[in-house]
Amino acid sequence: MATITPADTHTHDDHHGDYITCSKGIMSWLITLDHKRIGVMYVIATLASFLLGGLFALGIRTELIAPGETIMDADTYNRFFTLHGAIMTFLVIIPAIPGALGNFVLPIMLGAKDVAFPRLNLMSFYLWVLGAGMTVYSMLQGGIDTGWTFYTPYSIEEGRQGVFWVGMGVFILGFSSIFTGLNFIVTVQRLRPPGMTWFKLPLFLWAIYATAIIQVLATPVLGITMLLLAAERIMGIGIFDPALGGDPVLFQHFFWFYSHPAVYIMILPAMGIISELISVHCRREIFGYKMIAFSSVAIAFFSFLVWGHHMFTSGQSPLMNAIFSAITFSVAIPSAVKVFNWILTMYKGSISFTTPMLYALSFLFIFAIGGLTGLPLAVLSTDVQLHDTYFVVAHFHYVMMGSTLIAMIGGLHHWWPKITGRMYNERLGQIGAWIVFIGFNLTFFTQFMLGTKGMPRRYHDYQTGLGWSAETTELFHTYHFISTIGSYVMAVGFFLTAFYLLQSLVNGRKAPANPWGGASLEWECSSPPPHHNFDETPTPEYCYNFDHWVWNEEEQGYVRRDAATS
Amino acid sequence: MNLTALLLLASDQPGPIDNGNDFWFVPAATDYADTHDWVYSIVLWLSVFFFILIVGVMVKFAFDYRRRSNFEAAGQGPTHNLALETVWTVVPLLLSAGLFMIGIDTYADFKTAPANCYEVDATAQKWVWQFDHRNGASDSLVLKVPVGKPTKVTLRSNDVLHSFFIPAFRVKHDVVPGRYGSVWFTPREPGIYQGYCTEYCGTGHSKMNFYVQAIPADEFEEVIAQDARWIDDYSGDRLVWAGARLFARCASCHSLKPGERMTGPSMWDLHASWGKTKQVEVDGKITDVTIDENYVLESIVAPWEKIAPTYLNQMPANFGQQLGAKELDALVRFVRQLDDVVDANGELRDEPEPTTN
Amino acid sequence: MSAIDHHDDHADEPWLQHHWNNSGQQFEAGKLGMWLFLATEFLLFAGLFCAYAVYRSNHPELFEYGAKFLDWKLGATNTAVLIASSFTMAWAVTAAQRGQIKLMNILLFITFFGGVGFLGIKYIEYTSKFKDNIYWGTTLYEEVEGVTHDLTVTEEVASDDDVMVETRFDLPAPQPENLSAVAEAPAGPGGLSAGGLAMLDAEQAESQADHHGDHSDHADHDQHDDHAHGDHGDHGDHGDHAGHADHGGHDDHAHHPNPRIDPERPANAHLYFGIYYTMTGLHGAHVIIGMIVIAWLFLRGVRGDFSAKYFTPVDLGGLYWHVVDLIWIFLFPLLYLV
Repeated sequence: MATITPADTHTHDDHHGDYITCSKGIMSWLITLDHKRIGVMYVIATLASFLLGGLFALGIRTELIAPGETIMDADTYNRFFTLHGAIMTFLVIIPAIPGALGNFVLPIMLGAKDVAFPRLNLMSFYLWVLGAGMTVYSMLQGGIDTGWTFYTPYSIEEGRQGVFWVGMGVFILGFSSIFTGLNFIVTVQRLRPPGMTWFKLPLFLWAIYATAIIQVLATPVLGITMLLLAAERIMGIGIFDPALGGDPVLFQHFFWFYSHPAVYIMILPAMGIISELISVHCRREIFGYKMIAFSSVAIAFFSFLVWGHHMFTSGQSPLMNAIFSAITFSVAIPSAVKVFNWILTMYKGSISFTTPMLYALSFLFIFAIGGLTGLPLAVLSTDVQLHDTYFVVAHFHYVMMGSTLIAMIGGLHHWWPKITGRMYNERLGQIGAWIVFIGFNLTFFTQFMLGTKGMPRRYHDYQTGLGWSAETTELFHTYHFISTIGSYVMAVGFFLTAFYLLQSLVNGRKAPANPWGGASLEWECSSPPPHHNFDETPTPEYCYNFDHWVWNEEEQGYVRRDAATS
Repeated sequence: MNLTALLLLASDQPGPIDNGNDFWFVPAATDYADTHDWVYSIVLWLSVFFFILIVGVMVKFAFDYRRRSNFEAAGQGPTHNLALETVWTVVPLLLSAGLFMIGIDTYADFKTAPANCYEVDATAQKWVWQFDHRNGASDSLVLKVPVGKPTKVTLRSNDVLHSFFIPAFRVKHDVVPGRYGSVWFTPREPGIYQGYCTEYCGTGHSKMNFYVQAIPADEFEEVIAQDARWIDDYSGDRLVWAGARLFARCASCHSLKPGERMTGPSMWDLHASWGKTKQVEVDGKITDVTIDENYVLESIVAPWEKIAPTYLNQMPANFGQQLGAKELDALVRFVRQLDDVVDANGELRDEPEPTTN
Repeated sequence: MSAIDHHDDHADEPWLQHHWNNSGQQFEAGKLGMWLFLATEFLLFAGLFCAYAVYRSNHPELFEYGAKFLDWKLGATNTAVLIASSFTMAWAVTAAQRGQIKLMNILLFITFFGGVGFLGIKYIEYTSKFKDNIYWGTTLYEEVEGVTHDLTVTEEVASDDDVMVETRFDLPAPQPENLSAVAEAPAGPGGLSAGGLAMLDAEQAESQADHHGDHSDHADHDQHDDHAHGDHGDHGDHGDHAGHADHGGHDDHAHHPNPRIDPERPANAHLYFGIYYTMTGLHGAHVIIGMIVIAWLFLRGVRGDFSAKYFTPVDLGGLYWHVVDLIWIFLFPLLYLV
C-alpha cells in the first residue's frame, strides 16, 4: 500500500488492538462494515447451516441403513433429502468459501483495507440471513419435498406452501451471492495497491475472481427461474406446467443454466485454497502459476456451456446431447491441468504434514476420484445408465463435499490462527483429518457400486415388495450399510474438529503472525490482523517466494529473514 | 404384508432375478448392454490408470520430500516446464476426444430403434406403471417382452416427471408429461429383470418399481393373448380373485394389513368397517358415510370426493377410466370380501382352482 | 469503528470512504460495480426473453393472437414517457456534473413523475385487460366478474350415480386436451359476434344460479354434480353458445373479443398472457425500485449532499433508470408489435 495518506495512518491510532478487540459489544459486530468481522459472521453462519444440513444427512443415511422403514416414513425422508440438498447447496457450499474465507482473506491478501463496497458486503450477509430464515421458515411450514432441484411439474403441484418460501429464499440467497461476487470483482479490479500486478495475485484470488464472474453472470438466471416458479405456483401462468401447455424441460434448462455454473462457484474457490495450501505447506513455489490462473478462468468460461449434460435422458435432441457431451469433456482438461500442477508443486518441496496439508492431500485424492468419475457421466452412453442413480450422488459428493468442503475446512485450519489469533491442537487436527477422510470414502465410494448396479437416487426404501425382488434388496443392502457406517465415522471426525477448534478459542496457544511460512500479504500482518489490516504499508511481492521467511523457534512461527538476521 | 404373494398372483410367476456378482453392473442382458459395459470399462481402466498415477506420484513426493526440520530451506524445484505442461494438456484432450467419439457411437445405437420392433406402451403416473400391449393386454407390474426380438417401449406420463430404467438392459429415459419418449432393447435370454422409476416423483417414488419378463419368442404371443383375456376367466364368486390381481396396482399406496398406514388408508381397515358408518372429509367438512359398494366404487372413480381424515387427496383421478366395468366390480368385491382372500395378517391366500362345471 | 467514523479525516471530501485513496478511485469502482449490477439485471430479464423466444418459436400463433389484445397506443405512449424521463435523468446528471444542483433537483423531480406517469398508464392498461377478462393462467377461461368462477356449469348432467365408469370423471386439473378442445369448439352457424357471446354469458350466469338452487333440493347428490359439471363444462359450454347463435349484440368489443369466449382462440392462449404479465410486471417492479432510488436522490439533492465534485449516486441512479428504460424498449415491440 504505497499510497497510504497521512490521514489514514492517523486513523490507526484511534483503534488499539486487533479487529476483534478494537470495539466491543454485540452491535459492533452486527452492524460492522469490517470485511473481517463479516467474514467471521459468515464462518459461524455457514458452519451452523452445515451442522443442520449434516444432521439431515445423518437422518437420511440412518433411514437407509437397512431395508424397510427404519426411522422415518417416505414423506419425512423426502423432506429430509430436499432440505439437506437445499441447505448444503445454497446455505453452505456456495457462500462458504467466498463469503466466509474470501471475505476475510481477500482484501488482506490483496493488500487492501477493505472490500470495495463494505455496506453492500454487510447487506450480502443479511440477505443470506434473510434467505436462510425463509428456508428455515419453510421447515416450520412442513418443509418441502421436491428435491433441491425443484423440478416442475412436481414442484408446482406440491401441496405445501414450502416451495414458495424456499424458492423465494433461494432468490434472495442468489442476490446475496451476486452482491458478494460483484464486490469481489470490483475489489480485485480497483483496489489492487500499486505493485500488485495481476500475475502477483495469489491463486486464491484468481479463483475467487473467476468465481465472482460466474456468480454475477449465472445467478440472475436462477433468480428469474425462482420468480417464474413462484409465479407458476401463485398465478398459474403455465410456462413450466405441462397441464397448461407449458414445458417442464424448459425449467430444467433454466435451472441448470445456473446450477451447473454453480458447481464451479463451489469448486473454483476450493481449488484456489488448495493452490495456497499446497505451496505454503510444501514451502515451494507453485508449479505453473499461469496455467493454474488461466485454467480457473477457462473453467469459469466453459461452465456456462455445459448445463445440458444434466438432461441427457430428458428427451432433448440427440444432437444437443452430443454437443453438450463434447463441451463437458472440455471442462475436464483445465481441471486435470490443475491437479498435475499441484502434484508437481510437491516435487522437491519441503512438505510438512500439518492439518491443512493433510486436508489438501485428501482433496487431491478425493478430487481425483470425483473428477475421473465425471468421465463416465460425460460419455453419453454410460451416462444413460448412471444418470439419477447413486453413481451421480457419489460423484457430486466427491466433488462438492469431498473436494469443496474438505478444501474449505483445510482453508479454515490454514487461516484459523490468522482469524482467531489462536493455534488449535495440531495432533487432534491430524486425527480429525484422517477420520473425516476415511469416513468420507466409506460413505461415498460404496455409492458408486450402488449406482452402477442401478439403485436410483432419492429412494426412501429398498425393501422387498411389489415390483422389488428379494435379490435386489440383497444386492443393495451391504453397500447401504457400509455407507451409513461411513457417515457416522465422518460425523465423529467433524464433531472432533468442532471440539478442538472451539477449545482453541478458550485455551489455544497464541498464534504467531506467520505459523506456516506463507508469503502472501495476510501473513505480514499480526494474528489476528489489526482493524485496518496493515499497520505498515506492505510491499506486494510475488507471494510464492518463500525464501525470505525463516523459522523462529521463539516465535514458533516464521519471521522475515531480514528481521531475523538483524 | 406379503407383497410377493400378491405379486405372484398378479402376474405369472416372475421368478428370481439373477443379479450376478459383478463388481460394477448387474449382468448384461442385451447386446447393447455388452457394448455399454465395454465403453464403461475403457473409461474405468483409463481412470484407474490416471488415479494410480496421480495418487502414486503424490504419495511418493509426500514421502520423498517430507520436511525433516523446521529450519529446512524452502523447497526449490522447477516452476514451469512448457513441454511437460503441453503434454499433460494435450494428452487428456486427445483421450477425452476419443471417449467422446466412443460415447457418441454407442449412444447412437441406444437411440436408433430397429424397424421391426415389438411395440408396447408404458404410462407412468404416481406411483404405478401401466404397460399396454397392442392386443389389449395390460399389466402394472410386469412388462412382458419377447426374447431375441427388439422391443420398443413408448413412454408417457399422466402427471409429473418419471423415468423408466432397466439396469440389466442399460436403458433409461425420462417420462415427461406432454411428450413421448421411447427406449428399445432386445433381451437375449428368458428371465426376469428389475426395473425402476428413477426420476423423483413424490411419496411413492421408491415403490414405483416393475419387472421386465423376457419370454421365449415362440411362447410370447400366446402369453400376451392369454393376458388380454385374463379377466374372462373370472366370473361370479371368483371375480373377487380378479380383484386381488387388479389390486396389485393399488398396493403401492394401500396396505392390506390392519392399521398399516401408507400413502392411502389400509384396505383391511376399510373392509373391517363394512356396513358401518365412517367419517370422511367432503370439501373439508367431516361427514358420515356408510361403507358399502357405492362408497368403494366412488372412491375408485372419484377419489377426490370423500377423503379419509388425516390422509391427503393424492389418489390419481383417472383409475376409473382405465378400468372396465367388470374390473371395477372385481375390485369392489375384493374389498367387500377381503377376508375371503386375505388372512388376518394381510397375507393373500392361495387362489383356488377354478371349478369347472 | 467503521468507515463512517473516518469521515472527519477527509473533512474536504466527506463522502470518501476510508479504504479508497481518492474520490476518483471510489467513483470508478462505484461505476464498475453498477455496470456489473446492471449486467445482472439484464441477465434476469434475459431469462424471460429466453422463455419468450422458446414459446414464440414453438407457438407463434399464441403471440399473433395475444398481441391483438394489447393496445399499442398505450404502449407507445408509455415508451415515449419513459424515453422522456430518461432524457430528464441524463440531463439531471449533466446538471450535477456542472454543479447546477437546483436544476438537478427539478429534473429528478420530473423524472420521478415520468415514472408515476408510466405506472399510471400501466394501471389503465391492466385494469382494462381485467375488464375484458384477460388474465394469466386458467383464469383466462373463467368468468371472473360474473356470479361464479365456475363458468363451466352450463350443461345439465344426469344426476344419478349409476354410470360412474364413464368419462364423467375426468382429471380435475385442466389438461391441455381440454383447453384445446375449448379452443377448437366450432363457431356457431352463420358466425357469432363476440358481443353476443358476452351477453349470453351474463344470462348464463343467472341461469347457473338457478341451477344451483335446484340442486339444494337433493343435497345428497350435490357434491357429485358440482364436480361433474366442472369437468364437463370445458367441453360443453361452447357447443352451448353455438346453439344460441342468433343472439345479436353490441359491438363494443368487436375488435378485441373477450378471449374467454372467442372461438378463434388458439390452444393455450393463456401462455401469452402469462408471459405478458410476468414481463411487464417484473419491469413494473423495476420501475418502482427506480422511482424509490430517484426519490432518495432527490431528497439527498435537496439536503445538499451533491456537488460538482461528488455526484456519484446521481450518476449511478441514472444508469439504473436508463437500463429500466432500455428493457422497456425491448419489451414494447416484442409484446405489442409482433
